[in-house]
Amino acid sequence: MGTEYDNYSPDTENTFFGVRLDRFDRLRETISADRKALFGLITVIGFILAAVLAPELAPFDPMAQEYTIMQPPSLTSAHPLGTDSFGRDLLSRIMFGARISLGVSLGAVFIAAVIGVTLGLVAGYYGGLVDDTIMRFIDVLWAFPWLLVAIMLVAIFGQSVWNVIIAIAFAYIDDFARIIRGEVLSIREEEFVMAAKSIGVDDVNIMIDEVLPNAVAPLIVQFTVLVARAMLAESTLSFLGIGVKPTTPTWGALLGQGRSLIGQAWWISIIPGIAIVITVLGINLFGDALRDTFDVRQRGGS
Amino acid sequence: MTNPDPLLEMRNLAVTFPVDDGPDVRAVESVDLTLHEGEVHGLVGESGSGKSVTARAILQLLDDARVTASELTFESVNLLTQSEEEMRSVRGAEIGMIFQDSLSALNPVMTVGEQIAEVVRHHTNTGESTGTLSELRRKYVTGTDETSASWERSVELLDMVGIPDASTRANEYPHQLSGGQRQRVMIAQALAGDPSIIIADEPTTALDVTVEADILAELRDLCDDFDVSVLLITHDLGVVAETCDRVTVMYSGSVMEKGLTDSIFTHPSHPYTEGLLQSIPEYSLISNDSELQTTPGSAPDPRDRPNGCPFRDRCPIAFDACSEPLPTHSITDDHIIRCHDYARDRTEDVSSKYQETQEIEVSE
Amino acid sequence: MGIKRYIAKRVLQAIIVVYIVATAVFVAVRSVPGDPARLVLGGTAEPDALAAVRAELGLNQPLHIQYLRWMSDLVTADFGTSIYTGEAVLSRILGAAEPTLSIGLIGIIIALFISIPAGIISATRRSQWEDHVATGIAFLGISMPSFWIGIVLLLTVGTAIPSIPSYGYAPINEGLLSWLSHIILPGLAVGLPYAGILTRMTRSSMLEVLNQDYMQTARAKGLSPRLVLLKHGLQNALLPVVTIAGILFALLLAGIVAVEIVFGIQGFGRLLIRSIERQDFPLVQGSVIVISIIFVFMNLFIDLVYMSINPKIRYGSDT
Repeated sequence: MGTEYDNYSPDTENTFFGVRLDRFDRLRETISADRKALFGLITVIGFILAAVLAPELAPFDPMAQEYTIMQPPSLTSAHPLGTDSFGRDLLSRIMFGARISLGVSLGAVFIAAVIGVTLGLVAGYYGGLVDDTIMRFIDVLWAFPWLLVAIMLVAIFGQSVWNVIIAIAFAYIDDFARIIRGEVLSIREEEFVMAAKSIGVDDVNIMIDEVLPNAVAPLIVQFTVLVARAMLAESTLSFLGIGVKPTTPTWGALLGQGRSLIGQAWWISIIPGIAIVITVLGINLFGDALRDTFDVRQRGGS
Repeated sequence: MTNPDPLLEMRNLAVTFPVDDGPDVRAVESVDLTLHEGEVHGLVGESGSGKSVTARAILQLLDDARVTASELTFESVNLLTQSEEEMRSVRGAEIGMIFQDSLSALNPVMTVGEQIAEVVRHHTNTGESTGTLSELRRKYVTGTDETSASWERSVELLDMVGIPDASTRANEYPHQLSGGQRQRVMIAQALAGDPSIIIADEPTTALDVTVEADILAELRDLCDDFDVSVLLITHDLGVVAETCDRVTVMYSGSVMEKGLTDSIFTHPSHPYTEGLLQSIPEYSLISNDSELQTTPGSAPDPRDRPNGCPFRDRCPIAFDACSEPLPTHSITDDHIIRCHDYARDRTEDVSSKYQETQEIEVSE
Repeated sequence: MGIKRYIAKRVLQAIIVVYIVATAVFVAVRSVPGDPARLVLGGTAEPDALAAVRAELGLNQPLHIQYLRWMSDLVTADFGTSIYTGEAVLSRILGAAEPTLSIGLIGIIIALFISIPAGIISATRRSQWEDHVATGIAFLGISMPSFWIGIVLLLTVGTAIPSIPSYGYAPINEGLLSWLSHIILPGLAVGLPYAGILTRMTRSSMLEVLNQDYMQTARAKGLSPRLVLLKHGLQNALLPVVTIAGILFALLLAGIVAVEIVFGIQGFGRLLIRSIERQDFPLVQGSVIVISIIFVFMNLFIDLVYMSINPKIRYGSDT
C-alpha cells in the first residue's frame, strides 16, 4: 500500500511545500555524518553550477574549431582537458554539455512526474474501472523497454532534444504513477479525508491538499534517482547516434564522437565518460541520503 | 511433588541493552528462577516485564545485550561459560523453544515437515548427514527424502500433536495451516530434539480462546508423556491457573512474587499479584461481588524506572522504604515474596547471597 | 486461480500487448511526415520508381487493407524484406541474434555471481568495511554507462591481455574458448551495472530477512549460523530480487546495443542501429516487434519463476 516513509503530518503549518521542517535538520545531520552524502551534495551543486554558468565560466567557445587538434590533457596548457579532432576545447564542451544533460534529464523526469502523478492520483482516488484501465495502460508502458520508444521516435521524427526527452519520460511515468497511487490508496481511507469530503470539499482540492503533501517525500527521492538514470539514458542514446542532433555537445555525444579515435586520443571519450560517472554517482549518493532522511525505518543504518 | 530435582537454576540474572541515545536499559534485574523436573512453571507479567528477555537469556539468543548472572546452570552444566558452538548443542536438543506468532516464527518457504525433520536430524541419532553442504543440497537440489528416518519421525510427531492426516500435511507450508495447527507444529518442532525443557513464549496469545484451551491441554499432556519440563511465559493468569504447578510473577524487570500456584492464588501476598488476580473477571467478581478491580496507571518505561521497587508508583501501599532495593523473603519454602511492606518488622532477608556475577561472553 | 488459468491469462495479455505494439508501429511508420517511398529511395528518385516502391509497400491501397495485410503478414511471421539487403527481415534478425543473446547471457551470469554473494556479505557484515566496500562498488556500478565501462575495459584489459580480443565475435560452434574470450569484456560491461543494482537489492532484502522471527526460531533450534543464513534466509531474501531482476531486463537491452557498437560485434543491437541510420523501415519495424515479443514473454517467464519459488503464491492458503 503506502510507502514506508514517515513524512506525514496533518498539521500543515510546519511544512515547506509539504516537507516537514524537521526533515531539513535530519538532512543536514545525514550529510554531515556521511561522507558519501556530502560528496553527493557537492557534486550535484557543482554540476548545476557548471550547467547554469557555463556561458560565463567556460574558457572557450565549445563550437570553435580553432585550436590545435587532438591535444592531450595537461594541467599547464590552456586546454586542461585537451582538444578533440576538430580542435575544440574539451573543457568548454564538457561544461556546455552539462547544460544539455541537465536540461534533458530534468525535463524528462519532470514530464514523467507530471503525467505519472496525475494518472496515479486519478487511478487511486476514483478506483474501480478508472483505476483498472489506467493501471492496465501503465502496465503496458512498464513492459516496454524505453529504448524502443526512443528508436521509434527518432526513426520517425528525426533526432532532436525533445524526442529524447519524450522517449526517456515514457520510461518513468509508471514509477511515479505507482508511488502516488499507493499513497492515495492508503490515505483515501483516513478520517480527515472523509471529514473533508463531508464538509463538501471538492475532489480535486482533496487530492491536492491532503494527499499530495504526504506523498512528497517518496516523490522527491524517486525524482532524484530517476534524474540520474535519465542522464545515463540520454548518454546512451547520444552515444548510439540516435539521441540529440550530432552537433549538440551532450556528454554522450562527446563520447560517441571520440570512439573511433580511442587508440590515438583516448581523452576525447574517456573524460566525458568520467564526467558522466562522477555526476551520476553524486546524484545517486545524494538521492540515497534523501531516502535515509525521509525513511524512519532506516535511521541508524549503514 | 515435593521438591524434585532442580533442572535449571538461575540466580541474579541481569540483562542490559545498550541504547543509541541515552544510558543503557536494564531490562531484567536480579531474577532468580528455578525450574524443577517434570513441572510446568509459569512466568507471568505484563508486556515489558522482562519475561521474554529472561527466557531468551537462558538460551543466549540475545546478541545485542549484556547478560550477567551469579548462576545459570542447566543439569549441572554452567551455561554461563558455554561457547556459542556449545550452546548450539543445547538449543533444540536440551532446551527447546516455542514462539508466540507461529506464522512469523515458521519459515514460509519450507514445508512444516522439513522444519521438524531438521531438528530430528541434527539432535537425534538418525545417521543422516547434517553438514551444511548436505542440508543445502537437500533443500535446493534433491528435495526432502520422504523415506528418511527424520521425515518419518517428523510425521510421527505431527500425528502426536494432533494434526490429522499428518503424512500429507507434512508437505504443506505454514500459510496453508490454521493458527492452531501451526502452534501444534511449533510444539512438535520443539519436542523433536528430545529436550528436557521447553520454553513456551506466549504460545496461545495469538489464538482464539477455544483453540487456546486445546493447545494448552495438548502441551501439558505431551510434556507429561515426554517427561519434559515447561517454562510457560504468559500474561494471562487464567492460563497459569489451568496449567502451571509453579509461577513466578515479574514486573518491570524484577521478580515480585513466586511459588506454588496454589499458594500464590490462595494467599497472594504481593500487592501487584493481588492486583493481577483482581483483574481476572472470574476471580474478582466472585470475591468482590461488584466491580472489576484494576490497577490504575501503567508500567514505567524501562529507561525511567524509579529506584527500589518498580511497582512503587502504582502500589496502593507504597511507603518511603520502597525506594530501597528489594528484599527477598520466604513466606513458606515454596512461596517467596519481594516487598518492603512484607519486610516490615521481619529480618530474615534471603536475598541472593551470591555477590559475584559472571558475564555471559558471546564467543564463537 | 489455478496455475493453468493464470498462465493462459498472462499469455493472452502478452499477445494483446504485442498486438498493440504492432499497431503502434503501423501507425508510426505511416505518420512519418512526407512520403515513405521518397524516404526509401532518396530525394532524387524518379516518379516511376517512387510509384513502384509505393505499390510494393502497398501504400496505394486503402488504409484498412494495408492494416489487414500487415497483420496477416505478421501472423505468418512474414516481417517483410529489408530495403537495404533484400533478404527477409526475420531471417536477418535471427541471424544476428546469437551474439546479442550471448552477451546478455554472460552479463546476467556475471551479475548474479557477483551480486548475490556481495549482497549477502554486505547484509551480514552491516556497517563494517565489507559492507562499505560492496556498497561503494555497487553505487559505482550503477553510475557508469555500460558502453563507457566497455571502452575502459577495451583500453585497459583489451590492450594489456592479448588473448582477450577487443573486437568482434566468435560463434560458439567454432570453439568455446574463443567464444568466451570474445564476449567476456562486453559481458562484463553489460553485467556490472546490473550487478550494482542487484547487489543493493539483495542487501536490503537480506537485511529484512535477518530481522524476521523465523530466523530466530532457526537459531533456537541449534542450527549453525551458516545454515541459518543459507537454508533459512536465502530463499526468502531472493524473492524480491527475482522480481527486480526481471523488471530490469529493459536496462540490459540498451546496454547490450551500445556495447555491441563499442566492440564491433555484429549483433542484433548493431543491426538495429544501422537500420535506423539507413532508414530501412521493414527492418526497424520487424526489430521493434521482435524486441517487444521477447520482452513481454520474458516478463511472463520471470513471473512464473517467481511463482514457482514462492510457496505462498504457488499453494494458496487453505484457511
